Amino acid sequence: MYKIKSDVLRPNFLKVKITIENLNKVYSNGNQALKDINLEINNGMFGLLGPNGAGKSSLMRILVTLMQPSSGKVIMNGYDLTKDREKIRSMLGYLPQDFRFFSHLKTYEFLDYAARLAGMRDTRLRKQAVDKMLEEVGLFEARDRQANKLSGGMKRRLGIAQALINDPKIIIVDEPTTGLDPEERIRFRNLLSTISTQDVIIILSTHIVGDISSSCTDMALLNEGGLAFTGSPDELVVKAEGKVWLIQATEEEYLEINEKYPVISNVPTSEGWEIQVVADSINGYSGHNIAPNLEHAYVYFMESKLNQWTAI
Amino acid sequence: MISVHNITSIAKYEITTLLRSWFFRIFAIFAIVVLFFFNLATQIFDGGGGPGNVNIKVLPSIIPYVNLILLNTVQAIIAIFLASDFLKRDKKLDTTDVIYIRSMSNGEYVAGKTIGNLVVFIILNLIILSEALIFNLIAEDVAVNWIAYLNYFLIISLPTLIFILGLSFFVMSILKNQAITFILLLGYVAITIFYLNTKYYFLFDYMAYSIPLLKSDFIGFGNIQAILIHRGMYACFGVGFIFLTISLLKRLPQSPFSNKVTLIPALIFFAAGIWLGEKHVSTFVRNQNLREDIRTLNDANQTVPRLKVTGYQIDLIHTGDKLEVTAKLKVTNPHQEAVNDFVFSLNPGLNVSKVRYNGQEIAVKRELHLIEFSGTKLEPGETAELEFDYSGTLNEAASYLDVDDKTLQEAYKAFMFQIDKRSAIVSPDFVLLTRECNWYPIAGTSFGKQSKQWAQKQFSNFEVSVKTKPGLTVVSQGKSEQKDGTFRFTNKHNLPQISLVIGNYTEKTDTIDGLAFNLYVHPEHDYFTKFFEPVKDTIPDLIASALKDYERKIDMFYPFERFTLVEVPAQFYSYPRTLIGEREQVQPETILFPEKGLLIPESDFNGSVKRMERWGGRGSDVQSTPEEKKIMAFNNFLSMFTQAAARPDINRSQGELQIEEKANPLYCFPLFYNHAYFVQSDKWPITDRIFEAYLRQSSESGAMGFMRDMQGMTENEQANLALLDYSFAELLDDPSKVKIIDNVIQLKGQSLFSIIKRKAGDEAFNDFMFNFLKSIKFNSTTIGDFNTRIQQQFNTDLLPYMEKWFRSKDLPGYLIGGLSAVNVLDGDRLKTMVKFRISNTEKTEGIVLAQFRLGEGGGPGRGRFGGGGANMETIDKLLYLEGNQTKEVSYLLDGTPRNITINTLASRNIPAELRLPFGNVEQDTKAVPYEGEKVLDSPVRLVEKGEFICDDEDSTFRFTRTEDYSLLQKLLIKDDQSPDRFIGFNTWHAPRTWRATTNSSFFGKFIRSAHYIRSGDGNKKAIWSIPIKGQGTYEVFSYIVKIRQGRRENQDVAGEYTYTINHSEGKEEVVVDLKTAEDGWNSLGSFYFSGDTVKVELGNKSVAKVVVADAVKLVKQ
Repeated sequence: MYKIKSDVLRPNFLKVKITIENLNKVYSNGNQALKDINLEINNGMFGLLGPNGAGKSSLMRILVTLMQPSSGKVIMNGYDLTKDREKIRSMLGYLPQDFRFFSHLKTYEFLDYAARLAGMRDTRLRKQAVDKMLEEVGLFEARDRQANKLSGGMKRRLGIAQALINDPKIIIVDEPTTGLDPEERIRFRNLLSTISTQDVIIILSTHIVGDISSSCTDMALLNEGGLAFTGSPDELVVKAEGKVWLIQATEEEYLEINEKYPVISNVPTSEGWEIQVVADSINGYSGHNIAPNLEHAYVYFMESKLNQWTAI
Repeated sequence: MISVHNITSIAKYEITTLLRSWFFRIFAIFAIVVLFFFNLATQIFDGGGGPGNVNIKVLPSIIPYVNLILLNTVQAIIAIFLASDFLKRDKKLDTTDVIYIRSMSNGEYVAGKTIGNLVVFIILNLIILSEALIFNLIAEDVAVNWIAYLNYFLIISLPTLIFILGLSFFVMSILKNQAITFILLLGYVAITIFYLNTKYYFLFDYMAYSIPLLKSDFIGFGNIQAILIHRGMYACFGVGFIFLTISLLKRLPQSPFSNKVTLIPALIFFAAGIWLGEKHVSTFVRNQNLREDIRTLNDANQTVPRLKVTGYQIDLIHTGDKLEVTAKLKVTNPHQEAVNDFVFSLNPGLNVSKVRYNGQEIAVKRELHLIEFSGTKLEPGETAELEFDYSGTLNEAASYLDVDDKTLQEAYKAFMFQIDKRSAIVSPDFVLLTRECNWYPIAGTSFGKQSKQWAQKQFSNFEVSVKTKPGLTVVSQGKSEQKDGTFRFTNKHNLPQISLVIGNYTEKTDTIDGLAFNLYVHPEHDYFTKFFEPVKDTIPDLIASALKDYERKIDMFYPFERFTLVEVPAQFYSYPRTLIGEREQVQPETILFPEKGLLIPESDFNGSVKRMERWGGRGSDVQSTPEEKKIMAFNNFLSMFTQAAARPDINRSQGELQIEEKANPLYCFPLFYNHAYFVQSDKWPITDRIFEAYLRQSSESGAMGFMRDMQGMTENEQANLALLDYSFAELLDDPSKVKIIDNVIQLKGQSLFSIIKRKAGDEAFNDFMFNFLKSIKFNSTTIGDFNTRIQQQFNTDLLPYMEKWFRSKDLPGYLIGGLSAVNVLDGDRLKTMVKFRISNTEKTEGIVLAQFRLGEGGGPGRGRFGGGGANMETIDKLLYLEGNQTKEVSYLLDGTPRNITINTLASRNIPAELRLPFGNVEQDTKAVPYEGEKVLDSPVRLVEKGEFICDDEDSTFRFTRTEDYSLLQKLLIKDDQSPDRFIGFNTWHAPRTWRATTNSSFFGKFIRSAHYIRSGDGNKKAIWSIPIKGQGTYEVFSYIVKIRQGRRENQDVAGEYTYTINHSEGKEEVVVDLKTAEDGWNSLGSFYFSGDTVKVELGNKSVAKVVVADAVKLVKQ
């Protein structure tokens, strides 16, 4: 893919980059959450995909300095994560997976609090920024409401707002779209996409494939603490080419197929079922290959890794 | 770099959050409301009708002090909760993460949170202080001490909050559980308040609840250095804990080492706290050791002969907080042998630079307080001149060496605040010195465990000259002259001691009846001149007649040419002592009066008048004019000086009413006796106090009835109980008995002098005493001299008797019977003849005092509170009984008494005062009027023949001791655990187990007691076992007294007692209705008994509030 050498075009540009080397995290109960993670993340939106318990949150908590890695090295914009937390924290915006309980603060107060701590000292500018951000996430009307009393979606949006306040260079969002309705989800994706065109890194952890397919330029697939794939979503999709099948099946066959292969979708037809499966081949069934999407690729990847599954 | 921006940001939102927390809001509203009413009640009006509580309003600085003490005690606990809440919140809220990832150091974060917490409390403090201030501004008769508002905030609230916030953060960081943290710290608070309270001069008092903080208008805080060290220590520990919390915070620090780095300031602050604490404790321990060393040194020197100082010439220069003194002493050797070595005592804080002996500088040894002369020969009767140059300030640890550590450490608690206890003051603007601080050299040693020299007074002629800062006034004994800024005092006669006060005073003088009256008050404390303006012409007469009344009462004259009343700082304190009768507030011709009459309700003139108006509306006093009320207020004030007892301390602790009889430190009697006479005895140093007790007894009324009811025993009765177990000599040496020692001295003194009185006759002895005192005025004499004179005049040798009197543990015990009162015609006058029989059944002789009150009045609560009770006529008759003697006595009285009170003085009888009613006194035409006594052969009998009695004091009386308390009840309800043998009688708060109480109307031999209990289910039983002789039919009686309490005297007690009688055919329940029962023996019916013991039970089931078990009697039929 062609990339513009941005620093040539914009002299003030600070190139953002995260390098993760041999990162391990072993919890005190012996559970190894991360195994030898090596990763390089550049500007743009970076998707971190993986099932629950894959280690996504652990990785994110390490990246936002909430947790100490057991070993390994993370360099963010040239700063060492374990030594230069002051510098790193001043670049961060973070939205954790759980973001529900607030102390007795109003919506705008919470955002103002975050803005202050994000380094916005000028009262007037901060007020403008907070108001603008509230507008952007559609919470301006709710600015005087208790943060605790907001709906789940509004809390999420407040979370996004506080993560984005004062233009952080590195934005880390953990499962940001859970609990959002589809409209909000699209708005949110678009917002992140817009921001990602600036010189920032957005790390988006999710187990919803759609979030990544529509916005990420790069991604990693985490499974059981290890890195299963890194690259662009397109590269992942390529890996699944020829593995996704559309099968026309009778009721009887459908039950059989359901036993054998991971079924991605099933649509009832007049003759029986139209089934999408991921498999190396579909011996004996009437069907044909279709072009894979990211979801197919993800399932293909996860199933093959998990079950050491091979085609029948 | 520390980012102020981050700290303020965190603080700002912590404040917002806390101000919105319901917990804090409820507490704040509660505090504001409670203190609103508190201030309303104490500053604007009180229940008594006066304009607020005088204790709070007397010094304006007390208002913020008390408000903050109240608030602080609660906020110190609330702060624990709120502080531990911040870490709990951090843990609980998932949104904390987005705050934690912000670029700020852990230090900034914790600092912000701490400041947030602190600011919220500061806001509350400001609200409370403003509230107090508003009341302060509205309230009458009280100024505003603005700076005190700031002082107390900085001293009380701030260090407490810093400390408790820090400690709470820290404990919470370690335990990570708010509930456990809260409980643990509450435990800590409870321990500091209830157990460690006064230890090491209030070392553990983190909330400044007990450390004395009263601010005087004369000297400010009495102990500013100790306060600053103490509060500084807690602030340092608090900050130390906060730093420790930073390094324990569960958040990755900004840089890898910063957690360790914050340990450094933590350590520094802890070290500072420990250093301050050590300073605090070491001062305390050093003083304690010094006191012990001084006592030991005194004992080691107790045999060194003591010179007599005949004259003092003291030249003193006061500069800043130092004194520079030259004291010239004329001394003589009063002993039969030559003296080579002798010692003088001088406060150890004063450094002696030069000593001259007859003008010659000599070397002396200074050891602690002692100045030791050796090889300085003085022949018997030889005189010499000693000159001491010394300078420095006073070490108060050397005062009150006879007072034990526990008493010394006790807080001087007044109302709701604490006052420091000072025995001497030397500050740039104020000086207060009395003999107790030993500011001038005194011959001999001071107090030691064996050494009693210090208590023996020497009368000397004093001449004092003082130079001080311009504008200050000097007050001392003698005629005062002022020339070139030097005050000079000269005396025409000897004095046992002098005092010195230097301060900024307004002086008022007047000569009344030839006596010079001087009044020295703080320039801003004249609250009375305007008040008494309308009656100012009457005041001198009031003073003169009060003085004459008192002189008549004690039968002694005021010995001095002048009387000086000096206002001194509230912190000036004195202790009651065993060997010395006077308190330090009373100096020769001088009374040192606490500033603005703090804690002396009688000095609240305005309040007194307001109360009179309020109460007057209900009573007969409506007619008094405002002037008359002012006169009454002034008389009330004067009478305060002539009352031996101060207002008793009444407090409700652990559900039980505790009453402590207290001596009045301003009682003026020492002016009449102690500072003018002294009877010395090396063998019995207490002798002078016996004389004192004898002379002052006539001025003291008997025990207060209402107090007895509440407390169970008077201090006189406790003294009697103690005298049964210990001899007088033993009691004098027992520091734990100091509370009742005055009563013991009084009782023993009465019996000693009654011996002589009986031989000499009242009149003759009074004349003798008068002349004796006149001959020794302003000089001391010895008990030997007194005895010689007694022998010459009355042919009685007192000394052998005294020996026995000191060692004996025997007390007389009296039985009284056959009391009757009839009206008889004596000539043509109708008189009341009172007759009774009295037996002293013990082998020691004794005296009793029979008192008759004539006319109406004289109900409970008279005496002090009624303003002297002088209008009541009482007739006192002394009655002497040999050991094992019975007398029948008969008195003829001009009026009809309502009752007779037989005060058994030193005796086994409890109650010691038996109040026996007459009922209706009728005329008996046959009775022969007679006054006198005759000795009878047969003693007064309690039990007649054929009667068998079991009293509750007998060993055969039992009661069920049930333990049906829950653990919580045991912890909370302590009403039954009072160690006293007898408790008060209180129907509203009766004990849950059978407890003994005493009353004149109960049955008993010497001890008229009964057991009583709160009514219940009937399971708690009192059981009498009465041994009988021979089977047969007996009539069973129970002694029942219907005690009425309070105002409902005329109302009969409703209820019933259920007795169970175990007779030969089984059990029978007999119910006695209290309404129909008689006071005294009530028949329960006749029963046939076959065994040798009869068992009668009384359960605690009754409609009445309490059930009383006294005595059961069986009469054979």
